[in-house]
Amino acid sequence: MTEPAADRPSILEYLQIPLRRPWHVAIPFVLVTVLAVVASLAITKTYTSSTLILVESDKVPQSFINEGTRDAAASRPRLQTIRQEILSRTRLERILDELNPYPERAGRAPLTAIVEGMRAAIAINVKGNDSFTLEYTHRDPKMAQAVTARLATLFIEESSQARKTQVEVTGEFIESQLTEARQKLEEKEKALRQYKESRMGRLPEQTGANLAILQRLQLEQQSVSDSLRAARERALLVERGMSSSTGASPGNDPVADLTAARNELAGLRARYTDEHPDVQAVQAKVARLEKQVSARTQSNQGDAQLEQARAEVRHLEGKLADVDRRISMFQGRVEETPRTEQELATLTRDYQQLNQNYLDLLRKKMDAQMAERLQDQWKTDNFRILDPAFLPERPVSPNRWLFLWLGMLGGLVAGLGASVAAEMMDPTIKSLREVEALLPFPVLAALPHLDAAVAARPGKVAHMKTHQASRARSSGSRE
Amino acid sequence: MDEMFDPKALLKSMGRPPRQAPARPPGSSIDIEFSSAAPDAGPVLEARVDVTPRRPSGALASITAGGPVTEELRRLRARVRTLDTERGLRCLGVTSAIVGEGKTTIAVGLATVMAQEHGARILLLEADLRRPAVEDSLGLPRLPGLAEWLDSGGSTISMRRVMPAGFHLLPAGRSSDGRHAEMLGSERMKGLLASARSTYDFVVVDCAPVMPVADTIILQERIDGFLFVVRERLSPRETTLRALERLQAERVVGVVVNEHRDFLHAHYKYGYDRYL
Repeated sequence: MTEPAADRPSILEYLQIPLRRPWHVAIPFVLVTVLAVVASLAITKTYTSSTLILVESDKVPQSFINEGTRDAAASRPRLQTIRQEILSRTRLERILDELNPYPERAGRAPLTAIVEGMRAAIAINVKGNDSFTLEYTHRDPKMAQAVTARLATLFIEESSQARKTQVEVTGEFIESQLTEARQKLEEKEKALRQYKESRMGRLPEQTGANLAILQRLQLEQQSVSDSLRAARERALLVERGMSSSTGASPGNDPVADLTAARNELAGLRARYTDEHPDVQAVQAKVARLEKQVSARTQSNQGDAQLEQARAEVRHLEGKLADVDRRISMFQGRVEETPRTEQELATLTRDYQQLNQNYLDLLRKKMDAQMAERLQDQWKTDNFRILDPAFLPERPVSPNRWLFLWLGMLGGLVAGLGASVAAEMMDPTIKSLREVEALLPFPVLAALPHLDAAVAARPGKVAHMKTHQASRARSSGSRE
Repeated sequence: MDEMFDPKALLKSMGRPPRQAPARPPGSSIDIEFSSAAPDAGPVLEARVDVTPRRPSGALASITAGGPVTEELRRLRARVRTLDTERGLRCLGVTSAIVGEGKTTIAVGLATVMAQEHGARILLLEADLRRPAVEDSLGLPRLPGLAEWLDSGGSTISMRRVMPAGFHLLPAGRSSDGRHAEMLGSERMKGLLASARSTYDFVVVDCAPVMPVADTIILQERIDGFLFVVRERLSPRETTLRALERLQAERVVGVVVNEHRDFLHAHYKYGYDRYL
């Protein structure tokens, strides 16, 4: 007879709620829908103009500009940052000054608020990798077009200008860096030169020469010492020869005797022929004296030889000492070379680094100059307006159909919510199930809704009416 | 009871006047057929033919229309009969927590369907002296009833006979003073109920609601049991529970749900349309 008792309301019971409370559904539905339609009619129409801007890659052949220059000088803005650039306050303020799209607010609302409002009206949609659209929404279609066009041109102008400026700034920076590097390099160069000068002869590159000299000196040492030995022996021999001839010679002067004899001979010859015995005797005497004198001269020659030999020995000894000194000097130099080399290496490394740096800068400077010239000559704009801003013909807002549908949807939701809320707040017993759960007594019967029962069976009611009427006739009336 | 499960019998009994209905001549006013001596100083109950209503009002129309409501009332009748058999329950009050839950409708309906049984003698006693409604519900003119009798001190009380046969009515009438509770608790009332119990097969008492007035609480000692009416979407939960607390729990024999509306189930569940 009755439904099986359940503790919780079933889904079907919830579904019945809107059916039980149709007014709770219908009134919010109609109200919200009407409200939405009225709102859609009341809202100011707005128009959106848009422009398509293409982001072009550099027109300058890439081979002209190397990597470093592109990094330093290229100002190609990434698409991600375009939004910030376009929506920058200065730019918007400039457009507000030029076009005054919000005359009714100018001077009354704070400038920040107007800029914010304008910012909200601008939409930037990046399309793919290399283009974006710029949209501006305004209640006046002409103003929408004007502001969109101005935004686009202003953006392109400024980005080009910024790019140029950036190239120049880069050039200046490189120039200053270059000067600094040059100074450092010169200082280092000077230091290196001084060091080399102070270490002249010990430099690593002179090692070969030093070794060669050393070798030559050693040979020289050898030859000098040989010569010395020979000279010493000769001197000894001369000394010995001298001492043997000195004892035989008389004390008179053979030279004077020779001269007297020659004079005598000359006198004799004047008078006599050569066969004269006196002449022959004197001739013999002269001859003997000449022999004596020559012998005497020989002995004098021996002294000179000895002297000469000794001088040679002394000379050679001096030379040997000199050679020895030089050998030790060059040995010292060769031994010192590794240390010098190390120190020199340190100095050279620093120098080379500076030099490299300097060269790099120099190259960059040239690149920058090149870029600057390219900038001037090629006019490398990054942006090009593909579709210029158009004059919008139909308003974008309000979308009346959308308002209607959303209003109906919202109304339906509100209505359902209202019916459920009303049901929840209703303190009355709602269903048979609830009766069974709530009351500790058995449910003996559940009488259906009377009107519904009658309405469901109109035929029966009609039948009953005639039946009752006949009964009334048959039973008659007493009162 | 078998009748409950015999659709043809149902159909017959619903659509036509009962065969046993006495075709009374227009002049006879008093029917002494049921007159009986009071067993213990109770009043003598008389019965007289009432004016048959020209057209039944909404409630009665629904009850007698033979639709789902009637079916449900017959089900209720079957339950009540079972209670009678099991517990000797002869005098059944119909009450509810507050006004408007359908006590009178259900009392009238129950009495009607009970009277439709062969030879059954049913009394519908209206004990709601403050807001009598049975006569209106049946489309009858208002006549003196219980209140006048309790005031008068007479020994005979007239029952009104209404269709179908065997359905006798004692309306509340109109009381001259406001001592309704005292009147219902009086010895005369007790005697009346005793006489009714002995005279009729079954007495249905249409009581006042429990929450506003104490009438029913006073009366409950003299009534075998109560049907407690709960009207869906009208009876507040808390009030219903508190009203049931005021009644003696053993006297509440069951709950009758009124205005039960089950949008998604009703028609195919019972299948009246297809069946009848």
